[in-house]
Amino acid sequence: MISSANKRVDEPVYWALFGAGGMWSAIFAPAAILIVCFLIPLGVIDNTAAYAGMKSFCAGFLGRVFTLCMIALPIWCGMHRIHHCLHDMKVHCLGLKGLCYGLAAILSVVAVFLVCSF
Amino acid sequence: MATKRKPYIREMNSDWWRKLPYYRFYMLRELTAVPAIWFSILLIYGLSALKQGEASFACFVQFLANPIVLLINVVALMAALLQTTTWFTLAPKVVRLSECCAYRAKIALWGITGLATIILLFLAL
Amino acid sequence: MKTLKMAIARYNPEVDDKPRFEDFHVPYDNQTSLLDALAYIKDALAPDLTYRSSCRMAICGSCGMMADGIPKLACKTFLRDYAGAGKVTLEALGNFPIERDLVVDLTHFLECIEALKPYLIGNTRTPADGANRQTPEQIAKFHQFTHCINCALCYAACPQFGLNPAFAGPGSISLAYRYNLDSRDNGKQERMPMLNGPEGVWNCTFVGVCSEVCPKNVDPAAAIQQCKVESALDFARSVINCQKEKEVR
Repeated sequence: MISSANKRVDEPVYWALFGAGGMWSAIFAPAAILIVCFLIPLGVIDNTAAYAGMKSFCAGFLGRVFTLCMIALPIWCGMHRIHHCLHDMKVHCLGLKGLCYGLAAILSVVAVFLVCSF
Repeated sequence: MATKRKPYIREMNSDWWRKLPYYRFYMLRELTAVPAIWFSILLIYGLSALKQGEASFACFVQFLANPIVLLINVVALMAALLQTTTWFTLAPKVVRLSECCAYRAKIALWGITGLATIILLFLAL
Repeated sequence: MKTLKMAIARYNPEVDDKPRFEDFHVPYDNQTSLLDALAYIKDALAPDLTYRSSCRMAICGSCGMMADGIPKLACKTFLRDYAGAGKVTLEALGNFPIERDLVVDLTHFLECIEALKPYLIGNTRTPADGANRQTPEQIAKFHQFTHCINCALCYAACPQFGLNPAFAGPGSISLAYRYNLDSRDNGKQERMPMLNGPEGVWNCTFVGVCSEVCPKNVDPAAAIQQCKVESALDFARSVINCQKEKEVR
């Protein structure tokens, strides 16, 4: 039956964050993973040079904004997907939504704190 | 007369997505989220190590060089590439575009990604 | 003549507790459709076999069913395509309650179509004024979505409809969107509440199978995503308006 009360759902907020995160990681994640996870530990970029380079990158305003986006946006995208994936696998429990997006919010706050205090 | 109707409702099991290749690929697409979050947490770790000085940054690099971590990161890179591919296939559909415009939008998105990759690599090397 | 084994899910509500498979061996040639095969079975092998069909040419949308787990129009699907496997399994259209054999209860789909008002609203033109005029560009906006034949294959393919039977579903949302895009229509505000609500577009996770199985290339998945953009903008507007109302007070 069609319910007559069409209460508006708050999904657009999370969907917008999911969209921003998805687009951001689609564009930047492969390069970022390549640099951080492979070029640095495999020694393609010298350790001391990497340290100095990263330090000066994170000191600049654009660098801070980029770093924050690179950390926080994919988390919102990812937690949105995990939340819906759990629904797909019929995992339902009270507070699941709060847990997923709460975790994303906490990690985002940590990232903001780190970036600002750099 | 009493009705002889007795509609049969098929229960949907939680493993429904294993039944068709299309559903399996959808699940794979959605689960790229897990390595993506892993990389974000890795960045948080790296950033705090960077803040604490050269010694703890060296510790972070050593952690990254661990074969198990490297292996996880190979998966993360492949997941990121799959996410890029699927995202650029699906994103043009969200905006109302004609078929040829959607194709051009996809090419443009790949161009932006290529450019961003070159700039980031240039900054890093 | 070659024959193909067809396993058909039978369900008689008067005697069965759940569907059971019955095998039939059906002679076929290059032109035999699943619908032809069902007619043969009903004529020669099982007169009590129940299924829906009408036009035999993929325009009435009556003969939707699952062939090897994939939603298909029986009249548009051919036995020759299953010759390699030597067998095809037919079941009633997925995600809907089975009424009998291959017949399902489409009530939910029909109610959703009705609730989403897929007809021109708020057009004051009278017959005396003559026909509405539209430019080719205005028609191109929604033309693809007018091809829907209400066959409900998209509902059978959609796991989100399977998981939440209250979801309005791909077909009815595409129809609502078709009228939202029509320059002759002014009824968008009457359709948005349901699209914004718990039964609306936000159930969709863009699995995209609805567009794959659509026999008319309507692309309901695209319609739903574009509706999500509309719904998100509507959400933003409501927040701004709410803020303004507070300021007025």
